[in-house]
Amino acid sequence: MILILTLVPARVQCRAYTVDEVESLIDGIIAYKLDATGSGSVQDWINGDLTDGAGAYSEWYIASLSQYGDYDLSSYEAALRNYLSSNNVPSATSREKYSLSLAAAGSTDPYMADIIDTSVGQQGIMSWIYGLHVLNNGYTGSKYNTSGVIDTLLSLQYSDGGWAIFGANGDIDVTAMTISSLAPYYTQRSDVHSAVDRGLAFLSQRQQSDGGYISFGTPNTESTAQVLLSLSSLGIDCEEDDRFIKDGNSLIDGMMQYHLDNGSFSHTNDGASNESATVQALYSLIAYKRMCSGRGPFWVFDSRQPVKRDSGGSTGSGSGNAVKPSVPGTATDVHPDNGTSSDNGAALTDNRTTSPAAPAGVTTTTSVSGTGAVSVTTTLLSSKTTGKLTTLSVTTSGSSTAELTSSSRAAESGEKGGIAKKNGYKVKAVIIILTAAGVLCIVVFAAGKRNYKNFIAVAAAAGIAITVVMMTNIQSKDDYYNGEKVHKDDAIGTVTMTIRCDTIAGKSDSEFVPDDGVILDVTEFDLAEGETVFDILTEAARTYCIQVENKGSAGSAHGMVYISGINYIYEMDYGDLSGWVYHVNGITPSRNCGDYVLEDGDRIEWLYTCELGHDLDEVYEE
Amino acid sequence: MRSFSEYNPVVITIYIFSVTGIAMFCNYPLLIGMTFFGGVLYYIVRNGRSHWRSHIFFFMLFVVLAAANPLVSHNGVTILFVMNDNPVTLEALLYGINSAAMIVGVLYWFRNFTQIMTSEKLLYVTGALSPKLSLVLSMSLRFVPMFHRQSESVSDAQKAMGLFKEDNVIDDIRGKMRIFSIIITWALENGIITADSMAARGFGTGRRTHFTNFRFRRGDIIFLLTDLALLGICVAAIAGHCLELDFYPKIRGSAIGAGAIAGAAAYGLLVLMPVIIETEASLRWRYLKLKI
Repeated sequence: MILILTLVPARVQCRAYTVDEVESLIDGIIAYKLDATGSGSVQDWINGDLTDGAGAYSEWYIASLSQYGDYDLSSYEAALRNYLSSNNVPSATSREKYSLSLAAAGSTDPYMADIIDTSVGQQGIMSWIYGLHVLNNGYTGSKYNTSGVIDTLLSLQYSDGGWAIFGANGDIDVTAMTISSLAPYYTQRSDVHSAVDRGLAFLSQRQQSDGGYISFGTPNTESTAQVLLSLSSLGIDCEEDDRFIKDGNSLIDGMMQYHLDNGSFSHTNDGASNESATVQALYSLIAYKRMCSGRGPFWVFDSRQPVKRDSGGSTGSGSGNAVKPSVPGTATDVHPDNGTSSDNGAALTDNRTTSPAAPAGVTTTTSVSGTGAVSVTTTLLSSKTTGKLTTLSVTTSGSSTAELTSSSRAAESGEKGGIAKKNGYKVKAVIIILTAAGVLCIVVFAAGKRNYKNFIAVAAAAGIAITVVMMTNIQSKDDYYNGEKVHKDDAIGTVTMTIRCDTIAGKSDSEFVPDDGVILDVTEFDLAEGETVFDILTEAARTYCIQVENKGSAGSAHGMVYISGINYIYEMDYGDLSGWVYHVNGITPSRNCGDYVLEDGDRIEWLYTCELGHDLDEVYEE
Repeated sequence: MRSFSEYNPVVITIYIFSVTGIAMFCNYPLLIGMTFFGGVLYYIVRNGRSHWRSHIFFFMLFVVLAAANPLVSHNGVTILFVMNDNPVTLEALLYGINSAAMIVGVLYWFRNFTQIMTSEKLLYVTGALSPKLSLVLSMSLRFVPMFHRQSESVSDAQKAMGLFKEDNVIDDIRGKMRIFSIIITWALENGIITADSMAARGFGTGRRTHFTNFRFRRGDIIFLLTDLALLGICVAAIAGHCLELDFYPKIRGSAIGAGAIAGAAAYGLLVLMPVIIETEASLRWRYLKLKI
């Protein structure tokens, strides 16, 4: 008997998790949450904490509970509808997330269908993936259908088989999420079948020997959870498929490294319980259990209901980018864009980033007097919606986006309040300065120093302070690094740019020097009239979250701009003659990058040199 | 029994330079903090509650220095906000606070140093090295109080002539600028006259003699040896990379081990030595007075 047991190889060892054990893990997470929120039962939790957190942090828990058991989610649904009717959601992926959680809660709200046209594809690959999830649940818009979205997603696949938000290589999380969204078409469309197979090969190849995954250099729970979910959506049992068992360790083994005694999961091996890791572990395990019991993919909700429309209420809904004509009489049925909201309620990453970011936009309130004096509130959102970066960070499991975000959460949340409103702070600062100057004048007057020159001095000081405030442009991190691809209406063409540091790749143990030397692969940018190399670099920095430090007077007409560091690689870090130089079409310009006005089709390269350019193939400008 | 200022000038000089040297060549925040608090503490022990205006000045200097760094250096992964296309980072801010503490701390040590080292002591120390240097030092040290006296008398004269109004800020500043310009002119002229006069009297031609004889006593030797021992431990810890901290791009310090603890403890003791000596001396005086 013992002999037989020892003879049965790794297979026995890896079949470590039975359905019951997985269920006990799920129950452990739920018990942990009940304990943490002080709820007596799951229904208590739904009616209490999760209803309170509608629009903020409850969505993924609701989706999980909806797919796990039979609960009454109506209080949550009402709370979320209330939230959506009183808050404008500027982020496309957030709107899709709310649609999914409404579907999970069995809602019939037309919001789920209404946002499709304004959200799908509006915010990069993530908005395609979540948009497809919404479409998979049977909600349709007029502009997009499933086959078109699938075609787009297939076209975004990288040559290595993966998908990613940016960069040259596929990313584990994004690849797994894309596969999850494509899963319902795996057997129906041959092109999906082959693309998903290549994606699976990519995932299989990137799996570590402990069964888990490393995303952006950090082993973590979330990447593994997303892969587990995607396999379960395809109906692949990760405990039995050889492609996803490494050294006898399955995906669940990989995830269990982060399992804590209290039932929750940690993000990395640091042992601290992490909300995001816990909820992703929860729904991936639920997805696995559903697969074992032969139920459908996780993101197609069993409890979904078709949209029920009230007559006349179909004009636009809570979609942020639409200028919504609000029809008197139906305004209560749809979701008016209430422009006064200052909180977009966090993006997809509710658990990870709780920092509220204000919608960057212009709010105009028009009072239409007439029949009953209906007040119509319209919100014109500028293209710079916030919360983009936070969306990025969930999909890449935190460690990416890069170091720009991860460590700073605690510090930034305090910082946000003061600078959340774009430009709004300037008005406040000027008012504060003027008030202070006024108070000072009164003090001077009261102190008896009533010479007029004293007041001139105070006015001059206030003038200097106001000038400084007006000349500085402070933006919050999320506003600036918005991760949004800029589309210029007045584009005269496109240019490409790449940022490389081949000269030091592999010669440094710094984590900021990529192994292949590519910081930004060849990427296309829209070019507007008069844009310089510096403008494009700044645009790339904002879109792809690359740190860039410039010295000099950027922006002014005769400004000299010098780029002293990119991606934390600085001039003189690798010898006295090292630094960043740029080439356009292979030629080294003899002007600063703020002076070089680009033309259509130009090819920009930012290169790191260690020998004042002599280690690069330099051809000087005539 | 002696207070710190009565120790041999050579010992005091070596001590001050060992404290400030470590502070200036090691940026470990713990050591910087010790330098800062040690300097300020000793200054307060010596001067009591006076000079509060100068404390405010140094506090403002600290704030300005700390705030300047994040505005010019944009390295660091933790972005607080973005200003004019450049990120303002937490790392740069912390680096700024660290350097500001270092600069202000070292300034406080030199304030203590100038209070303790009268020009006579300074001449005793430098005279052994070079009579020329000693002459230059003694003359330049003489200039500072002389400028102060002269500017006050010029100010009084201006007021008496009715050229100086103090009732508003703008005229006040213009008046002070005028006095400053007068003082500079006077100082240049005075410098030339002094130099001629001193050359005529044969200054700087031979070794200087001193009014006071400073001797090495037992206490001086003990103090010097303790100073050098503590300095040695601290330098060994720094040289052994036990007290290292990189601010950019991510704050990353060396692991805290026995070396780091020993180095930091040695430096802490080093910084507190004058305070300990002063306290011991004052306690003894009080005890002796009680006996009378």
